[in-house]
Amino acid sequence: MAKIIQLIRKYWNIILFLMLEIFCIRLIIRSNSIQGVDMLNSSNAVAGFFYEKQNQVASYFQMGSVNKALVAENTRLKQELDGLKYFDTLQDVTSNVPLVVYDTIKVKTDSAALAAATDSAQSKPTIVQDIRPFGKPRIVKYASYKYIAAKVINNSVTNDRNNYITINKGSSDGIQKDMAVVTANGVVGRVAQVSKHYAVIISVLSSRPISSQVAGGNIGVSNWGGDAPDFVTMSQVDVRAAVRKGDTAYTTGYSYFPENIPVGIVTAVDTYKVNNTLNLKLKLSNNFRNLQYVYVVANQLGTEKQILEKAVSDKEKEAQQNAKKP
Amino acid sequence: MSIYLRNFLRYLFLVGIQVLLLNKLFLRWWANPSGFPTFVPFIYPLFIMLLPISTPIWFVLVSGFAVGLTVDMFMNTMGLHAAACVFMAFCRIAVLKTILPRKIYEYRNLSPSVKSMSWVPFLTYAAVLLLLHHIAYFLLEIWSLKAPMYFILKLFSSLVTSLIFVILYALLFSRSIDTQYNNLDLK
Repeated sequence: MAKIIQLIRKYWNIILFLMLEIFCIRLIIRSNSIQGVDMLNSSNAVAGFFYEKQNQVASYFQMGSVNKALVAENTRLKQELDGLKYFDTLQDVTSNVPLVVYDTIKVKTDSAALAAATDSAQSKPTIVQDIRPFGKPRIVKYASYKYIAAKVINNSVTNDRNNYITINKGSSDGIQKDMAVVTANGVVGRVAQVSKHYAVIISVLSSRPISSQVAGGNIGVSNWGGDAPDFVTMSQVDVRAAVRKGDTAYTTGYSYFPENIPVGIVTAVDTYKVNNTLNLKLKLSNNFRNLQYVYVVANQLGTEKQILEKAVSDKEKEAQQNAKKP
Repeated sequence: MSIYLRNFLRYLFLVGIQVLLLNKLFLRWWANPSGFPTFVPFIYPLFIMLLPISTPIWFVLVSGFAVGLTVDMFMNTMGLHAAACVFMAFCRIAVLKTILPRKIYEYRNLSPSVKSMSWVPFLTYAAVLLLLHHIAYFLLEIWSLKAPMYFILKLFSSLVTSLIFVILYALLFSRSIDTQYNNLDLK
């Protein structure tokens, strides 16, 4: 016994070193799991306070570019709004609820829907999925989304695996975990951790893929390879898709993002011979080096969708387990 | 100023510089040309390097863990900096033993600095420890050797810039580093 204690005392430093390293490695492994960051992160009050103070000083130097971006966004929104008004008067529907349209033609042609419609009230509105009156205006269905503006107080692009952004709004402003985060230009990321006044976003520059579409609905998966913070790779695109350089890739509504938010512009197309799909190199439409303001998107129907999908996958798992048992 | 207070203030100061200044540099103009890997220079390992030479090893390890975890908290890289910093702290005594001409216990009340070690040994000491820290950090972060050139480029660009900042710190705060501590009772 005395010998063991002697041994421990002799190698005490190495034992301490190994213990600390094992603890660190455990922390790293846990923070790289699907659940994302936990415990200590920059959404806590101390880090948030310092970042906010630092940002108050630094943001003075970026006033000009922020103003320019806001004016450009305002112009774009005005134009979009005018387009909607024009469209609504053409369709002869009330213009203050532009996306809820009484889709009478569909009810008439679809016999099954007609039978259902006779049961329920005739005037039940259906949400129009695809509105393209002229050109290709891309409109988020804002019926089910709510936008919360927030200021970026810390941002990183240099990490090779996961990059995080800290914003100055938290649960007291209605932000919850897993909400999507966008700017006027395009996608930013997903809320990973929330405290009372701050939230940490795991940005697109991470190992989390985004479901995206290009060239009229060809679906693929965009993933950040880990090198330059300006590019992502979109893989698993159908080889027959007519994709050209300069096309824009948008999000699909399948994941946590709203539909038709720009992801990036195609800069290179190459065919992946192994499974005959296209690999597209996308230049991200956001400049992640100087993000200033972001919008957190609260999906009001999101939880319903998630619960439904989770129920299905749980049932699937149960069925698989039952199949294995006997 | 007592040795504990001085080192604690240095800890706060270095973490502040790292988190509020150096982490933000790349956002505007640092490492901007596309294709070149983005990187952050690290100055907070200097806290471990400047602890008095005769500090007990367990304390160096624990303080390395503490400073790493603080930076981790600010940078959302749970455990990465702490692991690299503990590794560096563990190697510190071996590097010191090889570089210093006399026995460790003879440098009772001194910090490793330009004055106590002169320029070349101090820079060798800083460069070797920073290199160890960077290798540990980038290996853990990238977690593959698929692109060795990328790894090496990132490692050395970060290392060189970090060293420049370390030299700047050693020049600017030489007086605070060179202070001899009297009635110090560290084993």
